[in-house]
Amino acid sequence: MNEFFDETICDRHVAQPGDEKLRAERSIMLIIIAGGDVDFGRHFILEKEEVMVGRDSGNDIVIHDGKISKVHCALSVTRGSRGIERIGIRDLATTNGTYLNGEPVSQATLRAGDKIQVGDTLLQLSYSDEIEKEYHAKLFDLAARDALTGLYNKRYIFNEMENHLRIARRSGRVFSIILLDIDDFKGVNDRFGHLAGDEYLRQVAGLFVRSLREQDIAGRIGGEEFLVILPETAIDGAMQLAGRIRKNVEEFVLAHEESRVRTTISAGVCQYDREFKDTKEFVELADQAMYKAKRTEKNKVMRASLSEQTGK
Amino acid sequence: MGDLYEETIFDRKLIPDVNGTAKSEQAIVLTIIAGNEADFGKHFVLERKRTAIGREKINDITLSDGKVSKAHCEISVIRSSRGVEQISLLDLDSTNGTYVNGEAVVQTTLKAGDKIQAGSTILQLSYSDEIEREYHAKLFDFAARDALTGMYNKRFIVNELENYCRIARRSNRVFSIIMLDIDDFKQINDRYGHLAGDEYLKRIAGLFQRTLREQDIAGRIGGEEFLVILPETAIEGAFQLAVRIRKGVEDFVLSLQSQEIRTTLSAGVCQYERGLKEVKDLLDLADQAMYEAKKSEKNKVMRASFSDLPEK
Repeated sequence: MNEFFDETICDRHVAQPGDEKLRAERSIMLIIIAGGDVDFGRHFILEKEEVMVGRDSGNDIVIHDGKISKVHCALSVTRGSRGIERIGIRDLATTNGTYLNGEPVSQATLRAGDKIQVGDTLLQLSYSDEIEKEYHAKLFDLAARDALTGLYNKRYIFNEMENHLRIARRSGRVFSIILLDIDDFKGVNDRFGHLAGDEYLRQVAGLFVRSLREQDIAGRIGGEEFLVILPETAIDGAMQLAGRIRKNVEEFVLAHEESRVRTTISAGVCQYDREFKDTKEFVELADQAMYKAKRTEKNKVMRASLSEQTGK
Repeated sequence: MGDLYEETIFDRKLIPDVNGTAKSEQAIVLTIIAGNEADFGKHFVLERKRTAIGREKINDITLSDGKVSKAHCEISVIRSSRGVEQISLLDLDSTNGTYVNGEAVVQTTLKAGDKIQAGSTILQLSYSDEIEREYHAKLFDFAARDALTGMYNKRFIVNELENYCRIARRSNRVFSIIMLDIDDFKQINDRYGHLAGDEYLKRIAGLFQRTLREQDIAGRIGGEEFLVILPETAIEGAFQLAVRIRKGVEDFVLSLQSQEIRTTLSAGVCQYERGLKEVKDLLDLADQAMYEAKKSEKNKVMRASFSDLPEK
């Protein structure tokens, strides 16, 4: 019998003496270890000489925390021939101040392990090598992404929604969402089996990503249901993008074993409106439009608007 | 209009001043930063004088790594009234050796940040305060647990199952699994809405947890489908536990907005047998038994046995 869990002789060591990964130059990493849900676990490699931290999107590190000033503090990294010589922090005369390991500071030098608090957010500084960076990136992906499709998971994308809603409310910025649902997906599972169904979802997720732009954020929010956030996009642009996805899915054929799996998708598109009370109301509107598309003929994109909801 | 994203004035600090809990004692933590999927991200607080690391369950830290010896190495912590005096590592004559920061070691002292490699697994030592430990535990939970029910997610529990199969194949240890599926769950969603359905799932997950023993591992592997791993349990014991869960669900009534929501569940029980080549075979067997239960009359537990496995 093949006893494959017997101890095997090591043929490689993950980190051998002189191993480049282990000896690689360390990066300065800043990890958000406490704070709002949308930021939690995010990590940043400090590569520039000066890194701005604040609430406004112009900063290098944008933190979604109402207690943080628009431009809150600056980190400065001095590098010399021997590597990093100094990391400094400077509070930019903020309303609520910047704290270093619990003490308010206006200017200070930072060491590895230091905790910087701005508003309700806590950032920790570390020097990380490749292995540590990979570890952190992988753990974060496991926490934020759907295992099957690699798209963002429901928790993550709804946090992003809250966040975009807050920003739009404050700044008047435009953004839209698309809610998508694969037509007759149950039929795919029943006819071709769960493995084919899973493979179909994976491929369609890849197709979404290729159809979307870099700034768009796509997540899987149910078995065969997806949500896409389109920043800086009005309803017409969103309709076009949704139309492109619909067409791409219609044309896509998955060759699975002997069978050819294909189906279509229905979508509801909705632009943010100041009247929306919360994320729920916004998503429900897109959901209604999507169900209307499904009820009529499927393989269709419908637009929702606030006036439909309120009869205004 | 209430602009809720305006900067608000600060009311608390996350890290209290010098004498607060920020200076609370730090714990010695060992985190698995690379290695087998089932182990990745796990972390252990070293509280004892000696911590044994190896492949056997008897160790304080069990690694699911075929290149790790049964008893691979141990870490000793010497504490005095002043705190931690020394942390040291001893290789237990392991086949593939123990490495610290890439160098083979027999015995050495450890400092924070050190990377210990055993087989293909890398463990990193750190001193962590409360905030750091909470951060890591929360991120790990996001990665390993289902957001709705708090049970383990599919990725985590299937990795655990693979791990159990490997151990059982090697050691003749007995274990069983239960596959559970809520009967007519779609109707709950259709009749009472998704929110009610979600609430029902949450409550059922709690009921599972109360019915199971401490060593049992329960996960949500689909919308209304669950998997439980019962270590050191033969089919009879597994069957009894499954029946207890079935009865618990049958008796359970969720009262929600003057509605009384109740349903039942069907389960398939299967004991691991040596001839099972893959995890998938074990899952398929339990799945088949569960579907038999559903097909016959629902609200039922069926057992599967190895002989039910179709010839390939």
